[in-house]
Amino acid sequence: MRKKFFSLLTAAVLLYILDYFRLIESARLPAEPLIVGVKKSLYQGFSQLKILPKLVINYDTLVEAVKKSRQLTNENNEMRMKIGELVAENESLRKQLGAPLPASFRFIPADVIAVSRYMEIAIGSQNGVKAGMPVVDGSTFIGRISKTTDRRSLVILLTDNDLNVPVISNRGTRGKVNGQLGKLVLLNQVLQRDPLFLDDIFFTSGEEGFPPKLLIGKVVHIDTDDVDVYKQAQIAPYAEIDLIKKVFVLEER
Amino acid sequence: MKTLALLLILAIILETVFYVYPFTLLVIIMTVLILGGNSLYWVFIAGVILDLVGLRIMGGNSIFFLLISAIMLRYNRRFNFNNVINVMIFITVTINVYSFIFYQRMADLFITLFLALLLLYLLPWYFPYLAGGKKLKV
Repeated sequence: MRKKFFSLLTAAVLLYILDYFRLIESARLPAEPLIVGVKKSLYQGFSQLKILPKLVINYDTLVEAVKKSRQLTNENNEMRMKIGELVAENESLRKQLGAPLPASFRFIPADVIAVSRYMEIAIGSQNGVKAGMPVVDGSTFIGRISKTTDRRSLVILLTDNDLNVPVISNRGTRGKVNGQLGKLVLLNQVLQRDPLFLDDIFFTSGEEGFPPKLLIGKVVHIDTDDVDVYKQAQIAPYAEIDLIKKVFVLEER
Repeated sequence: MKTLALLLILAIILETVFYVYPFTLLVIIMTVLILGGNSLYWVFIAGVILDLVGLRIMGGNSIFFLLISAIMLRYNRRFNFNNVINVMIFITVTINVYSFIFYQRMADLFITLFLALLLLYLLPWYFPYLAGGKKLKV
């Protein structure tokens, strides 16, 4: 038994070293389509169940929301007509002013196939995804690509303590958010003299390779001590990681 | 054996797709308790599959699982695994060490105790012929 144990342990260590230096990357490839297929169908299939407890708890709110939704649909139709007119007007104004088009990113859509400590998405290096690329859901920041294979990528989430994101508030206060592997993220490195209030909204500041103006979340708790150099706060992220089925990887053109 | 394989696959899927909790390690501990020294291949293969499915560095989980198995097999008399309380303490400590290393968080104690108790009484019921003849049993 001892011989069996040591031979298996040696095999495991050898495997670890080879994979650490990416020497057996190709060995993963044959299994990738099967893993992606199974994980995607399971995650997407069962994601509906995650909404169930919320539906039960918020039943009354939902009934009101349905009424409101009908009313909003009517208003929306009117707005659409107005938007059509405004878009045309905007385009003509841009031409007149010679203003450059907004700096844009290429959005690479991706299906979420698992959410554990990291989020796993069903696109990889063959789709142009590279480590370090930001991941968003609409204008909400989700995280950053940490590892890719041909068909899969891991996204390190905003709530992970391995990710530091420079942020700026709607009042111009700067700081850095760092995950705590929970529902909230920690805002730190905020100078004592900078204004910081509850419900302040934070965005990415555009530093350290993150695109600017992506929504992070709002302040729910402030922890301040006059003796400290910096203030700290808890931020509730806008991204509802557990309910997201599709995200976009941003590639700078 | 089919049940054990299914249980391992289920644990790997739960751990890598739905919830940050070391389900696979829990099943591995139970496997070692039931199969004793014959569980080493299971332990190694489960670790490799977990790494493959979870997109982690291959071999990392196998090393951890094999070391835990070795500790369990080597010191089973000292730990006295015939006592449920000792098994529960061992499981809780191991699960938390694993969670801290791989997920940088502590595991949910309630889930650990509930699942451990469930598996402790479920597995010997499924494998009475194996559990009866081995040194490690509950």
